[in-house]
Amino acid sequence: MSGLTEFGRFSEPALLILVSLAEGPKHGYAMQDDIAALIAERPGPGTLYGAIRRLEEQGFIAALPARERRKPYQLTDSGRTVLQAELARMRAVASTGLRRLALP
Amino acid sequence: MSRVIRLVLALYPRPVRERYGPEIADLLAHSRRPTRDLVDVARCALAERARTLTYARLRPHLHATTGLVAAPMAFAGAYLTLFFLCGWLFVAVAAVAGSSVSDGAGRLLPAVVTPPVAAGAIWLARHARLPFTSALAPAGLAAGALPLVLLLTDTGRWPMAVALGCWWVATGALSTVAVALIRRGRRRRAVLTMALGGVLACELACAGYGLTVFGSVAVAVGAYPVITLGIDPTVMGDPAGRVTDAMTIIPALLTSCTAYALGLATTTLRRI
Repeated sequence: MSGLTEFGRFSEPALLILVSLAEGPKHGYAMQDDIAALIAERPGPGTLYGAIRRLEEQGFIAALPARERRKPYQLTDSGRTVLQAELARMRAVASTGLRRLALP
Repeated sequence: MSRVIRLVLALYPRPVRERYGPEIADLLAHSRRPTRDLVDVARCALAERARTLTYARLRPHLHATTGLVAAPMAFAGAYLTLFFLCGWLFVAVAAVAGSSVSDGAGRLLPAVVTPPVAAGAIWLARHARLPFTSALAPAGLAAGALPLVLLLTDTGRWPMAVALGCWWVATGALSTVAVALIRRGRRRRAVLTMALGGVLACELACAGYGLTVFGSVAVAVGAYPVITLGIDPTVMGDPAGRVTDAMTIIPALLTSCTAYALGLATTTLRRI
């Protein structure tokens, strides 16, 4: 099981944050923009930082020194591992679902 | 930062607010949909607060609440037990020594009951670890003593509420002053303040009661010392029986309540 399942309603925003940070360190505002581009919906600041807090507590992301009064976050090694596991699980679920629907 | 943003951020538990508050405020300040984002932050802040409500955090508040309920109960139990024990003792003495003893001895009951009740308060404060504040002990007692008096006597509710309200305000202020004096190391002054202030608090409560019932300033001012000291109430100009009947056990009860509240407040402070 992925570590993200413990996050409850923050598990989806947490996954999106990990995906966003897989590209490189980002601060909150940049993460919002990136996630909005990814799923066409901008997460609210409360939801975003609720997920960031849980990810940081679990050691999946880490804060970097602030730049221009904004604090960037980066993916840690354990965060990368969790993201890989979660995406692999999603890919398995997606391929099974598509196969059962007889879609390519 | 706008007042609304500060208000919403204040909903977060302090550690979360200190850690992420500036970043969340920055996003809110630059939000394209401020109303939706404010609602989102408020919702998440309340969720964070609910998450931190563990038993460990609630325990001091639960202890305080339990203490506030338990102390008046303990007081009521101790007071009733001692009052009736002393009453039986005096009846027994009167039976042996003659009926002339019973009237005078009955008037001494309040004075006899007060020291053991005060001692019980000090014991309770030392052993039960009740996290009392000086102002809350009288409040709890006023709330606990009122039903007790209403149950035991046919006293009017409003005069009794006036008496206990006066007593609560006066004793709350008194115990706060006494605790402040003890904290500053002025223990003798605190003892003197408690002794004189305690009498004044009872006097004020009985005056409020007397004025409500009799509408007489003489009765209002004189009732407490006269009845407590066992003086013949005719000195106040009213029929003795009328005054003593109307005052019922109020002077005795308030005297014991004062000793109990001050004992709790000051002993708890010493322990902390």
